[in-house]
Amino acid sequence: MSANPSQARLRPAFHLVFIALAIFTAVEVGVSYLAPAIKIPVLIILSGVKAVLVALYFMHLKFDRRIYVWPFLIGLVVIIPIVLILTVVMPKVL
Amino acid sequence: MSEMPPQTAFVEQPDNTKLAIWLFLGGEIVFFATLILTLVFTRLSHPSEFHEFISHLTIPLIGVNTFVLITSSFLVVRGLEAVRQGDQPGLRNNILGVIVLGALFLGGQAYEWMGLFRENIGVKSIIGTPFFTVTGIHGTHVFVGIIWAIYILVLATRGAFSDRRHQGVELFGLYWHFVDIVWIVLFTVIYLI
Repeated sequence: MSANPSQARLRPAFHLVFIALAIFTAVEVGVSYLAPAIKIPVLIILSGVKAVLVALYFMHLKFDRRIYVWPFLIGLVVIIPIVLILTVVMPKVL
Repeated sequence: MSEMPPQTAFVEQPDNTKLAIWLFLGGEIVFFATLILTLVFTRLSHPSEFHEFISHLTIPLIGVNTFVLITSSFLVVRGLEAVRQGDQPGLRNNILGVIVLGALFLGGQAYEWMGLFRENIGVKSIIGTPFFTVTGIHGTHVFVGIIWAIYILVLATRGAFSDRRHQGVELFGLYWHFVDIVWIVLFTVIYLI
């Protein structure tokens, strides 16, 4: 796992991902003051994008062997009910 | 004379240690998902209590805390990139930054908890129980990560890592980034929605 040109090329992507994560976090805080019908889907999408960015770039899933993705994906299946509750049930309750 | 088939000889095997960490993280997803589901269901069944509880939380403060944790994740990436290019001081400085930012995150969480306790919002309240459980267990993961980072820093100081030998840093990074992802979800579910 020595240094190679492809790793060196990843550096700007890491910086861009960090900047995107910071901007999305600031946007999330701003959006949280809006009405539930607007903020809930926006916040779900933003936090989902942030989590995927960290997994793909910071955890190198985008560049690593596919076998490492499976344990993560199996765990993610459990999160589906949470997303459904947040996006479908909660807007009707709040 | 028995010879190994060519296709068998050239199959690249996955790194078992790395695969083990990924399996561990897969289990952690299930663990945290269960905790978050408990919090969500409690919130749905007690909406007025939750709204009263959420009014005591300081979202901008936790937003800054979230930024601190994301920045620490970025420093782990920088540290790994540094050691991959043989930059030992770069590795040490970035891991030291991770330790400082991790401690800062825990300090922010402790500050938030103390404020809640001062307002008589305890662990035994209907929303307090899942809130303190989920954030407390996540904080414990951050604490474990800080201990791990200190261990990585000690090893780095002794010259244990190089451009060809840095798996320890990579495995620590996977754990730390996962803790970051969990907080990204918690920040949204608990504080923002």
